[in-house]
Amino acid sequence: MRVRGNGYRFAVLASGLLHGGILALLISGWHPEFQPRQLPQTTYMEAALLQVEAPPAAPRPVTKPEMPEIEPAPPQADPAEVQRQRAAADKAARDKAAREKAAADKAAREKAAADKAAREKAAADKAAREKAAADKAAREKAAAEQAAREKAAAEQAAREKAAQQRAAQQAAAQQLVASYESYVRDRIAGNWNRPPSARRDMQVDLQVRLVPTGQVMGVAVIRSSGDPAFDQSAVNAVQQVGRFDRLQELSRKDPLLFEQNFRTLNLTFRPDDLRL
Amino acid sequence: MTQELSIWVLILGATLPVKLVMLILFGASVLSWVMIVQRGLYLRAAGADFKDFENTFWSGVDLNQLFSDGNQRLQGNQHLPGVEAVFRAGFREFNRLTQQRSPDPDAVVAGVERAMRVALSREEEKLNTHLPFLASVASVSPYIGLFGTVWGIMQAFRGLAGVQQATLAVVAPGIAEALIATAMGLFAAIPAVIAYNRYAALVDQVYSGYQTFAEEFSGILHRRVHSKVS
Repeated sequence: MRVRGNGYRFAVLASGLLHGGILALLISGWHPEFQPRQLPQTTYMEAALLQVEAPPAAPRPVTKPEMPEIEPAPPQADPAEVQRQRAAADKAARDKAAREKAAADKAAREKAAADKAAREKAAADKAAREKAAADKAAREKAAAEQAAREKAAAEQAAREKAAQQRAAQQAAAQQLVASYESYVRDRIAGNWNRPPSARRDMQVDLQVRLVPTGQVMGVAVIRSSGDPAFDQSAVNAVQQVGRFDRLQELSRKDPLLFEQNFRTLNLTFRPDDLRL
Repeated sequence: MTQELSIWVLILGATLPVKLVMLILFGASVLSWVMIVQRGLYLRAAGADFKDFENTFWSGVDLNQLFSDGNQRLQGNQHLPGVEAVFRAGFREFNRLTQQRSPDPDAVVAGVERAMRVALSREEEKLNTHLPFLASVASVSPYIGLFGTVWGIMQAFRGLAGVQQATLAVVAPGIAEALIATAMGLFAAIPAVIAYNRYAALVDQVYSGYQTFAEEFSGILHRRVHSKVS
């Protein structure tokens, strides 16, 4: 029972079997089961960088003015009126035709057996019919024109109202933008160290790119003053600010306003701006 | 086949150094398993033999009788348990020394102890055979496997450098094939570590049993030689 001797034969056999088995498993193409894990599908939002170039006074996007066009109710009521008018016209025409026909009949009776009368009567009938048709058409046209005019007037009114509203909104927005602009200006002015070479008539235009957090992403000189040191001082002033904290409030409150006014910001640096 | 990246395909697709590494690791694994099984059997047998022998020894059997039994078994080419070898070495030395005229008791005891110490160290050697091998497999094979992996990944990335579009699909097979080397290293190392720790503890236990027995036996002989003299 107890393995005497060194037991090497048994050990070699066992080890050989173990490894042979593993090799055989591998060669036979076995591989550990794996099931591709089902990752929870995340819904991605496509983010595209858009650059709103519009100046502060840029008109609002077209979506707003479209609203009033759908609004006016009066044209909705119009068809009923048109129908009523048309019915009245029809009735009048019918009455008139009947009366005329009676008159013609009478004339015919008066000039009985006269071919001419008959022909006249036919002509009269025809004329009457034509006239009635013309009347009807004219009245219909008038009604349609009236409706169109009313509709146009309503639209005009709505547009004016929308324009007024827009103007009011724009004024408020402009005020807001102006306050933030002055904030930006103050922050930059506080960090601006003019080089000794700065002169009063120098002017450098910078374009600053901001992200909604207020972080400065890039500064570019659009129009140089001709003095590299002066340009650099302006760029440094913007970069030293680094981040306009309060712009974050604006972009949270009104992202569109931020996009329009602060996404790319053109700044003009003039020494006399600082009253120096 | 390329879709189903079975492990065997990956092994065959590996570069030569990685293949060599895998071969070495495979060999190490085979050998270490031979050692593991052999040592396991041997140490278990040694432990059981030790217990058996102690039982016989303390059952009050005549020591001369025990010794001549051992002689018989040796002549029959049978295996003697390690503790019995210690006993025989001590007893033989004792007999030899006491057969001299007017033996010095202290010299007898010292001689017996020396003889038993020699036998003990021989037995310890026997118990410890192959354990260093297991230890080195346990500690080195992860490194060998890691080397294979690093080499394989280096190759994968070098291949990647020549590709226009670096997708995951380009690197993944190379990395998978490289990682097999680490897997094999661990496969060889883990059983070796476990076996080494377990067997080292077993050897300690058996050997300390031998030592205790040797002390006790020399105590018995010491008593006997002193009573003889006085």
